[in-house]
Amino acid sequence: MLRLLIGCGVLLMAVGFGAAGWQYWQSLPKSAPVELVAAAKAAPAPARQSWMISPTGGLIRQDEVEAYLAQDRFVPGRTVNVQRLAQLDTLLAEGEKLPEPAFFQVLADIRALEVAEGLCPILLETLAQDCAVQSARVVEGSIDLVQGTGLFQIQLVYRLKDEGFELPDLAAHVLRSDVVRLNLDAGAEGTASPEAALRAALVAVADACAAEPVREICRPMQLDLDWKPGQPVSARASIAWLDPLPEGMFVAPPLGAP
Amino acid sequence: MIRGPISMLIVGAVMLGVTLVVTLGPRAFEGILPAKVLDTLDGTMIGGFSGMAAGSGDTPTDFLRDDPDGLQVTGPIAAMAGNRAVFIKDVIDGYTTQVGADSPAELMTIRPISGCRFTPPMQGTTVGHATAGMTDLDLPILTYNDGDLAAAVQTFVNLYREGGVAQVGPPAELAYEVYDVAVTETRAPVYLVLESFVRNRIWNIHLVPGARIERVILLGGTHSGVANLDPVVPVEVLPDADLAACGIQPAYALNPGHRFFEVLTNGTASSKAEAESDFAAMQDRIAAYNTWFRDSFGIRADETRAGFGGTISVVGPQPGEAEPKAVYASIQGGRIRMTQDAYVEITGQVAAGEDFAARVRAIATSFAFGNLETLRQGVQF
Repeated sequence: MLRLLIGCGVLLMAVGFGAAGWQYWQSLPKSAPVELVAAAKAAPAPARQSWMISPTGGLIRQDEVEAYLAQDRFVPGRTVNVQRLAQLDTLLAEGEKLPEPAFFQVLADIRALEVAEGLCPILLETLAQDCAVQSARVVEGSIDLVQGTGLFQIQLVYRLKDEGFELPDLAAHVLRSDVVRLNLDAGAEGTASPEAALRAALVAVADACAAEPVREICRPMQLDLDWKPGQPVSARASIAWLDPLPEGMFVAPPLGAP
Repeated sequence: MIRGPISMLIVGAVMLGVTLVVTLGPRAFEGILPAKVLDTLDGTMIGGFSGMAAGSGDTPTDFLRDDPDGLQVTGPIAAMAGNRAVFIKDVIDGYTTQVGADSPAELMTIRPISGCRFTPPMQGTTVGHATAGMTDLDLPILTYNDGDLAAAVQTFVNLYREGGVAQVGPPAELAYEVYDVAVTETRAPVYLVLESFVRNRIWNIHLVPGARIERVILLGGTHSGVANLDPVVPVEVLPDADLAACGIQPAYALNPGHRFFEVLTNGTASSKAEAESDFAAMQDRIAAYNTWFRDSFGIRADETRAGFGGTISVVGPQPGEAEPKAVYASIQGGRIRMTQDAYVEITGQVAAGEDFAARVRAIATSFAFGNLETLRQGVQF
């Protein structure tokens, strides 16, 4: 009996100390590999200003700053969102037949990438250096069994082509933004397909960036597009550009900001 | 030197075992622990029963709690007509809730009736009426359709997109749940009306020697059936969807301790007014159901109902001391007549690649053109 009690106590102690030891070990700072530390010391990257202010002097949200500045990689805040209707039979391989109606929704969800094809090439033709489908899904409950259609939500991420010039001193500029809207009547040019609608929206963005009030380095940030066959097309894009700091405005960088 | 570590191992193993029994419940150990041990554990707080007796535990009503969430069974009791409680051991011999591995020898498919009218009870017949909610006594028999498979494929796809691996088994609701009915009536043939409030149900019938069943009516649920019933006894089925199509809405009064009545008596002015309106509507539904029930079977539903939770109802009187009790009839090796969906499988008896999980994976793979990696989307920011 005594041995059982001692054994029980030892077991509990082993569990307790083991858990404490594990927590301590996990809390130790991880040491970086020697090569990485050496490389970091050898070539310190120039610190880029990571904050921007609005014309009223407020700090711009970090995801918007990233979407504007970080053109060397994809970022979550710079997207093209396309909602489009598609026939389910366009998702099938040659000779393949649609499954039982109960499976339409999940078939459409699995093959939603098919309806996203053709969108990235439009971006690459016009303004993007790189483009990728971030997600392609069918909207839940959107399957029309009679028409054999589904509504798809596609999100693309992209980074812009190199504009060939350096950004000016960001501390001496404010980031301004605007919304560009495009509404096309059914049957108008640019409504024939989602790709055509995207091309029309990108033209509208380019026109807005070239317009008078826009100053330096205008960049598209986010674009939303709705397309259904035979229906009016609507698109909404946000653009941002740099304006010189308004006279009389002085900025102090946020604490700890590079 | 070696005794210490061995003692530690033994104590550790015992502690681990007890912990698993307490956390998973005794039913997780079917096939590992002896049936008698499991039955004993099942009758304790470790098993299916949630609490202790309200009084001394000498009377069955001590194990029936009038709870704000409904009547709660806290001990080994069965429901009799009018929802009177009786100890299970006083009505049936050999009773067990260890049915998770019970496979029938024969499955026969039956179909719901067409129309809304049942064959009425014959003159001189005793009508027994049992109701059953969730029991968690799942049989290893599943039934499902393409809609269930499609939902599981969607879950599979979502998991695969998140983690790059997925395995989706059948949801618990696809299994048939067992509810036991002990028939102790021997004076006249019994016309059984069995009413289920869960998706898939198997009613397991246990008879006192000499009891005779005239007909069985199965109401509610999606799919239901009977086990251990003489094959010559007719079974008529009207599932939930057909009941609704016939304009029949089962309704019963809430237990006196239900939280609804707390709102009705002590709620704020607005909630009280809403509760009063709900109460009036509820009374109308109960009256309508009683009328339909009486027109169909000759008795009121609420007065005759035997079913307050738990796992077993009794149709007939409580056997006296010297009288024989009902005899437990196992589903293992028995006969089941049931309605079923497009697919039926008995766990462990399905050919490789044809069980629910394998079907789900195969469908997902086929829709992904043979390459599940195409499900993975997006870039790493």
